[in-house]
Amino acid sequence: MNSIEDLKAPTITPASDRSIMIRFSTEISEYVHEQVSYFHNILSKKYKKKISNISPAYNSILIRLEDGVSLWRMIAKLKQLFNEEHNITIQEKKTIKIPVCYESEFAPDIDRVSSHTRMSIEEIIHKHTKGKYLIYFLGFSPGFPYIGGMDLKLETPRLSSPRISVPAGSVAIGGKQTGIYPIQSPGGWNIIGRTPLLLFDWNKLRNPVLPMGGRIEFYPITEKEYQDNQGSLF
Amino acid sequence: MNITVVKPGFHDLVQDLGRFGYSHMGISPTGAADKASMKIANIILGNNLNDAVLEITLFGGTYTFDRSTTICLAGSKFPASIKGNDIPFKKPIKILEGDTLTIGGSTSGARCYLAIINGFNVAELLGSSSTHLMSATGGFRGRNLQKNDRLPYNKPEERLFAIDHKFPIDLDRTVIRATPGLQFDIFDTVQQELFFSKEFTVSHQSNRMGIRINGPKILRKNPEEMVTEGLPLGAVQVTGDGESIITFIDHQTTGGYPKIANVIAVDMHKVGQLRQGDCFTFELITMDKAENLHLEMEKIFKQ
Repeated sequence: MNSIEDLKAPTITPASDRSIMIRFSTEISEYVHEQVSYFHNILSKKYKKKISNISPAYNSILIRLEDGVSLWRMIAKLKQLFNEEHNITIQEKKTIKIPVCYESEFAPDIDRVSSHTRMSIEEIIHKHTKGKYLIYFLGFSPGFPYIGGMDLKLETPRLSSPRISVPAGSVAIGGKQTGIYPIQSPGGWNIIGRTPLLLFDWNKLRNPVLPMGGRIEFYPITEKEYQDNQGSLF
Repeated sequence: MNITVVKPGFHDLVQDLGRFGYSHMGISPTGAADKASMKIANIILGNNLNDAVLEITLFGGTYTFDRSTTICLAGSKFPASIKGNDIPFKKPIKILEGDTLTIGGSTSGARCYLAIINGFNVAELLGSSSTHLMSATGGFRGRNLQKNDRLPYNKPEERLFAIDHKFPIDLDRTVIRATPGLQFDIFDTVQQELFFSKEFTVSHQSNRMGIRINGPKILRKNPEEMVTEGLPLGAVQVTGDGESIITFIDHQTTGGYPKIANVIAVDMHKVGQLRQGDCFTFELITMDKAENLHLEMEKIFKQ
């Protein structure tokens, strides 16, 4: 376990008359992620009755207040909290290995990625499965992980118009990011494969398959392996 | 005890005040689009504020009740009748076994609410009866009501209804008040003034996730990509094309567009009543004033 020193006090501003934005940095890094993660835990325990919803992101936390809670009084409390001394410890990370079938049937946009990056499909799969990814936070739609750590050689612009429906389990590249769609949803990223496993379960929210702070590795599987494991629990 | 849907409305959804405490899992709060009207309907019946109601959008349908109970309608005015007799809004309405309620098309805003004694009875998901359409979860089978659906409601008890409620709620949808958004300062004064002076029109591409509004294009000179961050309800996001979208009740929990303004909490019920073609302007007010208005509104619902 390591610890983080030299914590700079974050900036705290009203985001609306019922919500507060806490910004730790303008950068995206694992170092900043540890701060976000630490304070997300503290805030959600300490202010359970005052906060109705909390959204950690790459380098910020948005909190939404319960009706009737005073915005300015809450901001004063937060400033006080961040002035206290904090010993942020870095927790061991759980690694989740995700099988992905990169065959064309599940990868409608892999040719697009190939022509944009000037890499063969084999190279794309190699680079994509070589990465060690960190789940910075969950957002956008139920269980959707924002993942960092993609090889920037794979960077490919988003589709000019999003698909109305992307199948659950789709693995995709959007700009500098890679991601997985845990449930069927709209989406504008380039789909390069699909996992047969169920990645989101409404009944297991306390112990999600893809938790904030988890590490992800992808490994390739054949179409046959995909079919054999389709719909399996993780 | 069930309501049988003889003919569904345009978009009938079971909703309550929302699903809170899970936005860090990417789960949208959802809930009634016009919470003020939903609360009024529940208060008049002596229900809990959070009891599940039916949200009816643009036009309603025909619904038969198989047991006697009492209902209340609130929100935008929709013609409603039982056995050919018009029924008033914001009044308890006695329903007899076998009665059929017919609700027509709205004559004002987008939505009305049908509350029933002790609420509709659907399985709760994460402590809420609200329907979230994108994930097809919650409410009645995660979707809007269809023909022949049987929507269960809870057993009523005898109640005496208070008749002296006053709800000084502003329903005017031509002015919507907003505070500066999180990225207000990245827009220059010309863009800010355009936004807060020109008229916007509600686009047909609106839904419970976002209300798209057509108006002045708010184009930045050096649009740089923003780091994705938490999205507050009512945030007005400006896309790369300069289009404005009001973040609405089924919104994504995080987003990457800059936010020029944020509709104040006490005006969110007006957003819930906006319909295609409605024209309005934004009025800029201070955070302090917005907060005081919120605290005053809270008192109205504590009666």
